[in-house]
Formats: sequence, C-alpha cells, structure tokens
Amino acid sequence: MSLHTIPSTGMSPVLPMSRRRMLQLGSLGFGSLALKGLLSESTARAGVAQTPHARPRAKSVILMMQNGGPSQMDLFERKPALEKFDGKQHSIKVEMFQPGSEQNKLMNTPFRFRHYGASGIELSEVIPGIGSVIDDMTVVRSMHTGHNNHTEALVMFMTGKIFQDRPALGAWISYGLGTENSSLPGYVVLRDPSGYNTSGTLTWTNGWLPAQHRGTEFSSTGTPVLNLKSSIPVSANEQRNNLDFLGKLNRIHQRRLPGETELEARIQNYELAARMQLAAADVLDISKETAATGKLYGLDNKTTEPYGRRCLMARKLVEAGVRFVQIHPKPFQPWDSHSGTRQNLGSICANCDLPTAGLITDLKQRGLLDETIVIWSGEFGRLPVSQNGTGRDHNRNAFSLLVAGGGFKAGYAHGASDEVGYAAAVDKVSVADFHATVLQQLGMDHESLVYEHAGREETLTDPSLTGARVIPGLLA
Amino acid sequence: MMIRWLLLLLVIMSSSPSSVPAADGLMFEDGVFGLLKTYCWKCHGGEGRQAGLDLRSLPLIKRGGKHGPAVVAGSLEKSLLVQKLVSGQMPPGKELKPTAAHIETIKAWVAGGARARYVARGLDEAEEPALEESDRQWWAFRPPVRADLPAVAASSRVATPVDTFVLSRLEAAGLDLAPEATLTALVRRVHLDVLGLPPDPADVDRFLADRRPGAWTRLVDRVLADPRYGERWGRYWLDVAGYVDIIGADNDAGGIKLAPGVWRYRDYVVRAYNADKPFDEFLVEQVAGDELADWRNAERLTPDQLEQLVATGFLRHARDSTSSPELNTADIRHQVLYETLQTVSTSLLGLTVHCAQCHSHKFDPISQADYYRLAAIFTPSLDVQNWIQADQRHLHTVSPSHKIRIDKHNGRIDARVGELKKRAAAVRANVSTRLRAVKLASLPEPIRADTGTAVGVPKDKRNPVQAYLALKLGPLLAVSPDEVNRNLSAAQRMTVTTAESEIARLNSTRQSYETIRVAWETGPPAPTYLYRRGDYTTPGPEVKPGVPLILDPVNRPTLIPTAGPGQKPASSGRRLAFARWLTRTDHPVTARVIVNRMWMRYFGTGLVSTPANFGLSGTEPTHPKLLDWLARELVDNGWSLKRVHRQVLLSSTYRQSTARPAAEWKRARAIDPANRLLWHRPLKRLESEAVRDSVLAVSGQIDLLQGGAAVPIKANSDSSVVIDSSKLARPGDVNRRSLYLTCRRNYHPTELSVFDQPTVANNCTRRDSSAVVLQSLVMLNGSFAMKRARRFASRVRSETPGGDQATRIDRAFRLALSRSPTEEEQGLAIELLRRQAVELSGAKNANGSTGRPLEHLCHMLLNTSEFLYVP
Repeated sequence: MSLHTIPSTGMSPVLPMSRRRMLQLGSLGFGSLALKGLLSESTARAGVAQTPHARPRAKSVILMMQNGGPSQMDLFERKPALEKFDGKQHSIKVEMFQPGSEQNKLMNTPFRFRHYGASGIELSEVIPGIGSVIDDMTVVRSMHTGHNNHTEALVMFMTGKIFQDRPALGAWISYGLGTENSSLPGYVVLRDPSGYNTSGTLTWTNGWLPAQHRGTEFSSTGTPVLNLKSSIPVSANEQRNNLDFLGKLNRIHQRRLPGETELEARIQNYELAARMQLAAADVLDISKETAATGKLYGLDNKTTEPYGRRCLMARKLVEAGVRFVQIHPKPFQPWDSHSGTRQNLGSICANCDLPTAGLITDLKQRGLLDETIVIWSGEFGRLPVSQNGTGRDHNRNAFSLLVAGGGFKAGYAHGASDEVGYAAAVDKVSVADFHATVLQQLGMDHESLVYEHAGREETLTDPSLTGARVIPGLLA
Repeated sequence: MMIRWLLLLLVIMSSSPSSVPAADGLMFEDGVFGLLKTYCWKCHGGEGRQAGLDLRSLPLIKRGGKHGPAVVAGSLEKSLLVQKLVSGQMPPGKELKPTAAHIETIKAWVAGGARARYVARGLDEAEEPALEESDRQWWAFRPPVRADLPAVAASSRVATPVDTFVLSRLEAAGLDLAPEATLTALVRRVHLDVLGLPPDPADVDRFLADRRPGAWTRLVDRVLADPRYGERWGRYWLDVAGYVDIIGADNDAGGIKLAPGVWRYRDYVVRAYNADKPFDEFLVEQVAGDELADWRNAERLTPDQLEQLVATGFLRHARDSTSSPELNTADIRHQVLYETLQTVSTSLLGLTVHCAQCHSHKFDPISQADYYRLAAIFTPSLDVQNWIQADQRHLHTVSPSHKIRIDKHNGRIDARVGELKKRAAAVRANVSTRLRAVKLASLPEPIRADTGTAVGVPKDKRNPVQAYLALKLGPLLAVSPDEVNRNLSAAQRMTVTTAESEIARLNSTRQSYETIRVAWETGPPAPTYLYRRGDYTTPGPEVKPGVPLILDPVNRPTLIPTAGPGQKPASSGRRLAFARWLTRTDHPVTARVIVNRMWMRYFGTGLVSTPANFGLSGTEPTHPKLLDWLARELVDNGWSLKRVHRQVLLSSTYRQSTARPAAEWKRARAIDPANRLLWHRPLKRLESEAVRDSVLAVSGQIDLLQGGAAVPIKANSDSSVVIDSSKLARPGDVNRRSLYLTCRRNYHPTELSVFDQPTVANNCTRRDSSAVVLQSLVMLNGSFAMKRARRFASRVRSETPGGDQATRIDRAFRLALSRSPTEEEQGLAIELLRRQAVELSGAKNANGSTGRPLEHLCHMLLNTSEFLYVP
C-alpha cells in the first residue's frame, strides 16, 4: 500500500506564477486523493458494499483481449467498395507500418458477409459463433487509436496511453471498486500457458496504483495458481499449526509497530492464501460443470478447448465475485495477419469464435450478462490495402470491437469507418471514450476516479488531454 | 523489347518541361512526400543517408547531398531527383519501381515550383519558448549550496550534520526523533541496507561485544568495506541504467536472446562501487568511456581502456529489436534513441524530457529544441540513418588491430591444422580403401562389381537393384575407424600421430577475445533535426548538440565543442563534453539526483519523492538544505559515495527506531501523516533480490562467488520461471546472489517477480513494494523457500550439536532474525514443535527439535513479517 501523500506542512515555494506553473496548479486544483480502492478492500472484507459515484449497471468485466490487430473489414464491417475496387490503387496513400503495402492496392476480403440474428447485423462468415449472439452485443465500427505498433497500441488500449508505466484498466477498476470475494483477488488474468502475449505483464500492470490491484495470473491448465499447493507435501493440520504459529509471531511483531498498515495486509494475505487454496481450487474446478456447459464452450473439441477453458473459468470467476477477468487467446499476437488473411483468420477464429459465443450465452442464461460487461477487442485494426498480396498491415485509424452486457446496447452496430475501412468516420469512438463509458457503467465517473502520482492527480482517461467522454449512443 | 523502347521514348518525350502542365496547387506534403517515402527513404531519409542525401523535407531536398541539390524548383533538367527517377537509375533494383503516374506527379511538382508547406526556417517560439524568470528560480535549476548547520534543541541527538537538518525541521513542527533502535535491530538493519544480506550470528555477537566507544562507526566501516556492498548498491545502479542481459523487447517467455558480454558492464559497476571509484569518473566513463582514449588505434587495450569501453554499456540497455530484419525500421531505431535519452535524463538529470519529443514540455522549462539538442549528443553513436543492428553492435575485449592480429594468428593455425588433418585423413583413406577392396574381393564374383558400384552411388540416385545390394551388402564392406587404426603401418602410424599431436599443440596456442557491449560513434556525425510533432518523417530545423538551456547556469545553448583545430578525431567528443558538463562541481542536478536516490534506498522515500523528476511537475524536497548539504558533501570530497553513506549511516536519524509508543505515534501522525519529516525510521520491505539472498544466506547455502556470465534461467509452461539447472556452469550457481541471475525485461525468476522485481521496459528509478497474496504463496508453498527451510533446519542442527530444544529454537531465531526469541516467542515455538511432532507421530524425536517439526519452525521464521522488513 504505497500511498503517496504530501505532508500538509507548507512546502510550496513563493514564486511568481508562470504560465506553466498555473497550468500545473490548475491540473491539481480539484478533488482529493482517491482512497476508494483502499477503503473498499477492507469494507469488502467486512462485507459492506461500496458506494460508487453513480448507480452502477454492471459489477464486473470480462475483457477478451484479442491482440495482434483483428481485421475489421474481414470480420465486422462489410466494405462493398473493397469488392468493387479490389486490386485498384487507393486514392489515399495509406500509412504503412511495415513494408509490403507500397503498391497501395485495395484488397477485398476473402470472406463472405452474412446478416445474423434478428438484428440482421452483417458480420463475416468466419465468425458464425459471434453472429449467433450478436443480438446480445454491440459492435463498434468506429474505434481509433494512437499508434500502429503493437506494444504501444496494446499498452494504450489497456492503460489509456502509449507509455509503459500506467495502470491497466483492470487495475483502475479494482482500485475503484475493490473486490467482492475475500477469497480471491479482484483482478485475474488467464493467458495461454504456452507464453505471454506481446507486452507481457504490462497489460495487467498496476502501474503506480497500489500493488494489490495488479492482475493476478491464474493458469487455465495444470495448477490454476502458482504455489497454491505446497511443493513439499504438508498435511492440512501441519499447515494449520504453521499458520497459527506464524500468525501469532506476526501479531507480536505488529504490536511493536501498530501504525504500519502494510503489516496488517501481510497477515491478511497469509489467511487469504489459505482461503485461496480452497476457494480457487473450488472456483476453478471445471470438472463439475455439466457436459452441456462444456459443449457450449467447446471443451469437447481440441481446437476450441484451450480458449474455451479460459472463457468458462472467466464466467466462474465473475460468478464468484472477481471484479475483472482478462483472457488472452494465444501467445504473442494471434491476430497479426500480415499475409494469408484467409488461413490466419480462419485458424484463430476456429479457436476462439465458438467459446466466445458460449461465454455470452452462458452468462445470459445464468442472468449474469446484465451485470457483466464483456469486451472483445484488439489494439488496432488493419489496412484496406493488400500487404504481400494476401495480408494487411497495421492500422491505427480504424478498428472494430465488440461489447456486451452491463447496460450496453444489444443487437446494435455503432458508427462506421470510411468507404474502404481506412479511418473511423461516423460516430467516432476513441479508446479513452470507450474507457470512460465502461467506467460509467460500473458506477464510476472517469473524471473523478483519480490517483495522485508524482504530484499529479492521474485518471485513466486524462480527459483534458484526450477529450474523453462517455458515449451515450452505446448504452441501452 | 519493343515495348520497353516505346516506354523509354515516352519518358524522354515527357521529360521536356513544356510537356508538363504546371500544377500550382501541388504541395510536397500532399502528393510528393508519400511517393518519396515509398521509393527513396530506405536509402535517403528514414533509414539511410546515402551520398549525404536526405529526402524527408523540402529544405533537405534543396540542400541535397554530395552531388548537389536534389531539386531545383522549376527545372526538371537541373533536378537530380527527377533525372534519376526518369532514367530508372533510382530506385535501384527491380522490386520497387515507381509507376509512370508517380513520376509524372513528382515532375509536375518540380515544374510547378517545388512548393511545400514546410520551408526552411529557424526554431519557432513553440519549439523554443523563452525561459521565464520563475523557471530560473526553481530550486533544482540553481546549484546546490552548502548551508550553515541549523541550531537544534536536541543537540544530544546530533551525531552527524545530517541530524541537524532533520531535527531542525522536526522541531519546527513540534516533533522529535524516535529513540534509538536496539543494538540487534541496528546491526541487522545496517547489514540488510548496505549488503542486502542479514548478519550472521557471529557478526551480531562481535558488534554486541564491542563495548568501546565508536563501535557503531567500526561496524559501519566494516560493512562499507565488505565486497557485498558493491553487489547491493551496484544493483540499484543497474536499475537506473535499465540493465538487462538480453537483446530486444523480450516478449517471448521461452525465447531468451542473450546479449553476449553484457555482464561485464554489471561487474564493472560492482567493482566501481566497491572501489568507491569517484562518482564523477564513474559517470564520465559510462557516458563517454569510448571517447577518453584512442582505442581504435591502440596496439593493445590497456585494462583502463577496456574498463572504459565496458562502462559505456550504460547506454546500451534500451529495447533494441532491430536484430529482427522486419523490425529494423526507422521508427524502431528512433525508439532506441528516445529510450536511451529517457534513461539518461531520468537517471542523470532527474528530469522527464520525453514529452518534449513532440512538443515543448507543458510544465517544465524543457523545450522541444532542448530535447533534440540532447538527442544530438547521442545521435552520432545511435545514427538512425547509419544503423548497426542490435546483435551486431558490439566490440571486443581486445583493440580492433589486436583483434585483426589474433584473427590472423588463429587463421594461420586454422590453415596449418587443416593441412595436418588432411594429411592424416589421406593416410587413413588410403588404408580404408585398401581394406574395402579386400572385403569386396571376398564377395562372390558375379555380384562383386555391381555391389562395388551400388555403394558408390549416392543413396537417392540408386536404382532398385543397387538399393538392394547397398542395403544388404553395404555393411559387409564398411570399414570402421578402429579397423583403419589397427591396419596402419609403422610409418603411417608415425605420420598420423605426429600430425595429431601437432594439431593439439597448435590449438593450444590459439588466442581468443570476447564480446563487449559498447556505445561508440560509428561514423561522422550527421545533422540532427528537431522533428515536428515528434515525427521523424517531418524533420524541422537543424539543432546543434547541447544541454537543456535551463540547466546551464550561463545559458550557453551549445557548449559542446566539435573537433579542435586541425584535428580529425574518430569521435565527435559530444558525449565526453556532455559528461564533463554533467560532472561539473557546480552542476545543479547531478549530485542532488545521486544523493537523493541514496536517501530513498535508506529511508524508502527520497528527500525529493520523485527521484526521476526534479522539475516543476515533480515534488519539492522535504529537506532542501539537507539535500544540498549531501550533494556538496559528495562533490567537495572527490565524489566519494562511501563518504556520503557514512554521513547517513552514522546519523541518529538513521539509527532511530521504527517503532514509537502509541501516544507519540498518534500525535506525530496527526502532524506529519506520511512521516516525511522522519519522526521514526520508516519500515521498508526487502527488495526482491534481498528476500531471495537472505533466504539463501540463512539456509547456509549462499554461494558468494562474484562476477561472470549470468546464471541461466528458463520459463516453464506453468508460467513459473526458474534457474535452468541443466545449463549451470557450476552446481553452486543455483545459490548465487540474485544479481547474477539472467536479467530479463519481463520474465524474472518467480521468487523475484512476485516481490516486485521491476519489469524493465526502460529503466527503473524507484522500486515498487507491493504486498500481494502471491508473495505469501511463494514463501509458504514454493519449492525454493521450502527446500531452503529444510537446509536451514539442518544448519540449526549442525550448529547446535547435542543442544536441547531451547538451544535449537534460539539458534533458529538468531539465524533468521538476528536475535533470540522472547519468552513468549520461545513458548510459541515449543508449542509448534510439540504440535507438529504429535501430528507427525512417526517423527523420531518427541520434542520435535529435529526432523520435520524443526523444518516447519525454520520455514515459518522465513515467512514472518520480521524477516521481510528491515528492522
């Protein structure tokens, strides 16, 4: 609990006001230190609900992080112009990231688009699963971001900016709302066990927020939590004896230092560790799920099983009161299709499409979708022109994302990119806008959820710089 | 062929000026920029500067390269750019050729007057706003001054001048220092703080037995002279440098791209700290060690020169992914430059300058021009248009000419060895052929010749009959090396053994050298431009190397000299001049930044709580006069860091207790809730390395070997990261101090990562100290802690031969916590041993003082809060 407070013993220098100084003071002139997260940790333990800024629509979030840059015009937004001008040089020289698109020739999607559901939203044939639940989702077709390199864009999607020291969305939400389950961490990450995605742990960092808000990694195979079980067998009674002794010793130590709150947290952690040994094993035991549920998530199929497990674990975790669950499909950057669009997208969609639909369906049938925001997004989109003949290069100017539950509209398509999908054009939504809207649905005002860092009151969205605003059009 | 002629004709025809319609409206930025970027920048702009030509902006195009201006407005004939494109000479190669329409566009633009929105100009006001008087007044931009020591009431607590500054502020707020900590707490504290390891019981006893005056001073001097000091404090410096043992961004858990030889920089740092190398010298070597001596032409490197080259490894820790060809792009290269600047500015200048890459700093008087002037100091060694890929950017432990001599020497050996091998092989082949002929002759005549042919035909070319013969009879014809040896004649044997022993002798005379990671200038400096909006594709006015205006007391924008008259040095000397400026005795920030970080390591928070930001957007010092006093103490005493350590460690401020009686605590807390005035010793959790090293030390297994290549680690599929015991150079490496484990950006050994080992995106100027549940789990259940607890218990047993239960408990407490248990704790320990003995009814000793019960006790002592915090 590294709480950064400045003593009230006058330390401001008497200096003539400069332009920059005024700016600086201006940015510090509102609000006070947000203690909410810290308080709610203890109130949650005592079973007391937290009073948020406004009436919340949702209480938890599942973020399905599809990094690599899913292709908007091959998945979510049909572009007849690409069909018409396939192979023709585009009139605007697009911003390239890597070589391979110098010819600037438009490329049609290799997939057909279909109208799905009662809403009739057009989506690619390669995501029939998502299509089957699109009536419960919103597709935002007018997203844009700030960088076209993976790391920067991914860090920006997760933390609001391209710089690598800021807290991730999940950390902000854990900080703002605390946890609802005293036997589990508030922010859990489920990645492919074979490796990290691009940017590694940066996508669930607490940045400069107190460290208990960092995402805790659970594994979807083998042991869900590292070291949850004793590496040298110890019986339950032995461990109880040990923990009793340890607790008493730590209390004696704490008595000498009554003012140090961190010692209390540490004592609690040993108890949490003990509870987690039982709770985590219980919550994450998917063997007790019915065969029908397993099928819903594709656990009966080798192709869909790994991601399906993580989707199912995510449901069980939010059901158990975990505030924010982040899941990743595959290591590195699975959606990064610089060539072979048809094969690459076909392969990753085969892994992920059905379990995604399974999660939405399952949440809905359990009555959890209303209070859970499910986000499906990459860090940027792709270019309308061909790269290396069959691929597409990075595009920061337009991408699409999916969002469901938690008071977001259902069966709705928001905004549009330009004729070919190069840049967001209609009802544009920035990453900061999207963050602001998600926070609002959780009952938090993005301008008021602040944390003092290095003399600045920081927010997730930094509205004075980004112009972030809640997008009412996304909400039911 | 015909078509090509026609096309050429068309091109020639259309190149007459009269045939091109003047396009008045066409601007460089609209239609031309993108074309040049596509067709030309690989060599003349983003990634290259061939023939000195840069085509990124109209002013640069007009300036041209060594063949003159690339464009003369209005004249297609005089515009080399047009001529080269039209003739097809440029771009070279066949892969990327501009279309006729694209060439027409460029011609139209030239003919129309070669207009651009950005034209040559000097720095504008946004790029270089005037400094304001209030900025100049900011504390951090004025040189530190040694203030008079303030008078204080509690004069009995003044042990060093440090105390007067601390007490003066405390007393002004109606507070005082906490009482002195116990002697056992103090000896543990100073060992953990200075060495990163707990004291042995013998160290504690020695201190407690020293009843003469000055015992504390003697202890402080002892720990500061201990070589483990350099490992502990050197590690802090490695944080600041962003040290990693790898190349690139480290995004793949399984793939470790080791940077060979980078560990020499780590060892250099440790040695420098232990030798108390004057800190100015330490900084100069790291920023410009390659510019201190003419190593390029040195016959041999002196040990000093090698040391100085290795020191520049400081500048080589930015994430550099350019060893992957697809990432060897202009923007990634620029990123390496920017991240290097970020490290330099946060570690040495105590300023965050990176926002000035795109615009003048919003809060601080750091202009965009300042940023690029600073960049110009480093661009000759990180020349984006003359790049060396990350995995090839290294020198060797010998001078370049020495390397050539060694390569030649080894080349001669290679040649001679080759000859000898050939000679021996010929003799063997001869014998082998003879033996095979004998074997072949033993085959029945009708198939003899065919079999001989079949085995001689390459495997994939044999017809079915040959394949059959080769399969069935081939083995009968095979001659083993043993057979050959047995059948050598005496003369042949002599030839072979002579050759072999000569090969062995020659090989033993081989010379070798190793790789070192160095920053050095790889060519003559190119102009550095301010990038408009921070974008390298839109270069603006040229800037000269210089330091941020606000930091230079006499406001000289370009103090960096170029080469002296008549000289043509191999290096521009920019970094050396920068380093000399940085270590001036009146420098406003350097010494303050260093002593502030030292203070932060001792007290958890710096006197300035934002150690990498002394600017207006940072926080102000709680004790400005103390900060300045320490800074002056450093500079005025030959930049001896140990001297400043001593001033802090000998102070009453350092020696005060962490605890205070509840009433005092409450009162003080109301006045100064964050303890910024230091009314008690702040409680600090051990850093990741110190936790692991302390466990190793208590277990008795620690291996204190210093230096050398990093201990290999690996990532497991369950996401744990462990020491790779299959690749250890020596078995004891598994127990080396954490400093020596392979340092990656993202994937640290689990025992370290859960205790906040920083992810090294850039560098780390302040460690986080979290208290997450995974820490409890790793200490409670992890195999590292459990196995060491077992060894700890064995150690307790072996150090208490014939001892009773109480003796063992006492020993365990003294090893883990540097003190004996209280009566209450003794009782709890006895109770634990009893209960565990009952639980483990099979245990031999009913009182539980051996075997598993004792292991449990030892294990729990490693889990206590007391073990984890500096007392």
